Amino acid sequence: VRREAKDTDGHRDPRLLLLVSLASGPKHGYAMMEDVEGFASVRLGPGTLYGALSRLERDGLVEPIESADRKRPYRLTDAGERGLRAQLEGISSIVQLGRRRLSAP
Amino acid sequence: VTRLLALYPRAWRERYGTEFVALLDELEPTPALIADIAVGAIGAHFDELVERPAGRGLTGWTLTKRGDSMVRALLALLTVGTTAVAAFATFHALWLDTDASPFRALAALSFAVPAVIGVFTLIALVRVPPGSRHQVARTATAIGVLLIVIGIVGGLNVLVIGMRTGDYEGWVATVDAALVVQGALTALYFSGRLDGSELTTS
Repeated sequence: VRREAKDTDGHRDPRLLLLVSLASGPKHGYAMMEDVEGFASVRLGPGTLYGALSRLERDGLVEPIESADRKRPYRLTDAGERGLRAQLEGISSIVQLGRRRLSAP
Repeated sequence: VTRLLALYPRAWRERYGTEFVALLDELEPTPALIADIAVGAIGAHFDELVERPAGRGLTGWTLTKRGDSMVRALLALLTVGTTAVAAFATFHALWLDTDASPFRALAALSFAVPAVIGVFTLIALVRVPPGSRHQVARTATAIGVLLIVIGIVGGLNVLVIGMRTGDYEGWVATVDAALVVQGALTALYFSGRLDGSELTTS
């Protein structure tokens, strides 16, 4: 079944999706998976999710929060918040340009 | 499904294993899920070999210490193989071949050059530390290109002789192909172009 294109199709980078998810507060893996599916209609598999998460942590964009539970929550670092803002501004400028060009005669 | 964790590198398992299994416990095992875990494991192994800056796609990555060791080991293994075969072929062509072909010396030379290059490549692999690759970049690139040329010319030679006589010397073609790979890997690794580390040639 061919899925209709959505305006989120160009932004399915798991790292970006996880940063957006964590922007609303700390979450553990399953909560991130559910959240991303909710706002982007993308079901991240566990391998994809933890692959992206480990790279984000390596790059200093997210950090784990100590937890007694097996489910370890993560949160954005200051660098992660700045990086997310920069990415969203870049995407936003492209979206605005595209819309202007589409509406131009 | 949790047994698939064994596919991941040890360091990754030690860091993320507990929480990863906690996540897997909440998911229904499906073929897609298993495939995703397997692909994730490949990515985790790749991450141990190279460092990829975010947002740079396939460019701008550099070898980690472990990745550098793996490339060196691979190149050394290849070089030992081609050098041994080339040295034997040189000896065979010069002293054992009873055919008094005028091209015998040329054939011997085509094997002797890779054999000598192989010895120098092995010395470089042992003695040149990763951070000093650029010091031999220009020489390594030159001999890498030379190996590629020898490999291609040798391969074409096998092809032409095979077409004329119907007898294709498969082992020579294999060595020629290995020389091309060795040449490319030597040039790319020592020049820093393999991993985009953009080392300056001296």
